[in-house]
Amino acid sequence: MPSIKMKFFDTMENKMQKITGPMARFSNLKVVQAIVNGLMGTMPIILSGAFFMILYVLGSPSIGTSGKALIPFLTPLASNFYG
Amino acid sequence: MNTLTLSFMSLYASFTMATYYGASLDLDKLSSGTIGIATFLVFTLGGLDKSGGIEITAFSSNGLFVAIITSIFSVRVLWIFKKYNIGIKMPASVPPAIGKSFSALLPVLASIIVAWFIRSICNFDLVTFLNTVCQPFVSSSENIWTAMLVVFITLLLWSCGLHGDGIFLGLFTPFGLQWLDQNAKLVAKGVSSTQLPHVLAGLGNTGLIRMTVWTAAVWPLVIFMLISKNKFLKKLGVTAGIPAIFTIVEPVIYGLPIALNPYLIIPFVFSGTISTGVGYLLMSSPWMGKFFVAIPWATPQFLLGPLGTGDIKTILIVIISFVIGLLCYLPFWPIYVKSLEKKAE
Repeated sequence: MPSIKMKFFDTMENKMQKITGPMARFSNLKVVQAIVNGLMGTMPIILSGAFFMILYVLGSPSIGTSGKALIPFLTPLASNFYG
Repeated sequence: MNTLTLSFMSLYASFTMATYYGASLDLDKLSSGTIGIATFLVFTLGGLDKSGGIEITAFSSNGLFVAIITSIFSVRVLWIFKKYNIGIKMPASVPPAIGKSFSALLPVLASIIVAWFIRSICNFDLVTFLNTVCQPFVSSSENIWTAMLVVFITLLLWSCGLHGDGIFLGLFTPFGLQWLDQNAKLVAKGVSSTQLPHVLAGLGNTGLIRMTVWTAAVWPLVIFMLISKNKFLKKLGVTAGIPAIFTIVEPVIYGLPIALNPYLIIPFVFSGTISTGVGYLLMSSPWMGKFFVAIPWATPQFLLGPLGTGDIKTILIVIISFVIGLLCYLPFWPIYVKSLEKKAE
């Protein structure tokens, strides 16, 4: 059994090495590099925004069907977190 | 806070993408960034509205595709002007900061005029145009194949290193909201949440697809990283795992990376697509609740179902999606770890 498993892994690995070349060429295009790096550059802003989004999710009473917030003391600030 | 950061994503991205593109073409970084942001604004806004405000839909991830086009176009304009040496030249005695901004004057003018001509004179709005192009494709067919195709294309974009949610999935937000609204109206009339007509309600930002895709395509990887013996993978698993619970998947996709990683792309694309298909079948069955409340996208998946549908049984979809994801990644993960070890040697 293990030998069959190893064979399967090896053929898979060889097949994958074949796509690596064209893929690397595509990713090294200046345009693609610029888009990927540029989107990475907005990451700090997005993650800090997401942090406030999480606080909004925890504090807003309008989320869900119960009409109660998950963490009630955050409720007065909820609209500020979102806005 | 959230609107000014997340919903202004395209605005920030049009600056950063233009800066990086300009740097790779040996242009002045600051000029590239400013020309990118200026062209994006002119191309999307077309002026102020009557009360003096601006329309911000294009700044959100809906406009990301447009931001990519405008920043690449404008930096290319800058590059053409530099190549053919067109521009206002200042004598050498002028400080470089002033000289640079003067040499960027003509390209900025040219780029802005082109954008203004298309947007304001021809009155062509690319963001709305893309939405209307997708309209017949989506609104006519809310079925399992649409759901799977949308997820497939989105994940394919992610695996090329592009922000799939922003570029493609975001285009469907108007339809998702419309369906959500129709569902909500029916609930208000007293229809039970299991009998609602729209299974894909909330497509784009929330709803069924958010419950299935990242559960299947990212969570198994986090678990694998956490139990891995490799130190780098373990550390990444801890740091990327916490945002991943809140469906913020960029750290895993760009950090591991999944993007342009030949070993993981195949399970990444297929796990999400298959789990969406299975999730759709489950949710369309008459004993499962459908979405009628708009839930912000950063809600953890296991809360998304009960909160958005009022039906605790929807957690089943999340569990099944996770198992599908695990099964998809199982044959591929050891090969990837092995290739990492080989690289380390």
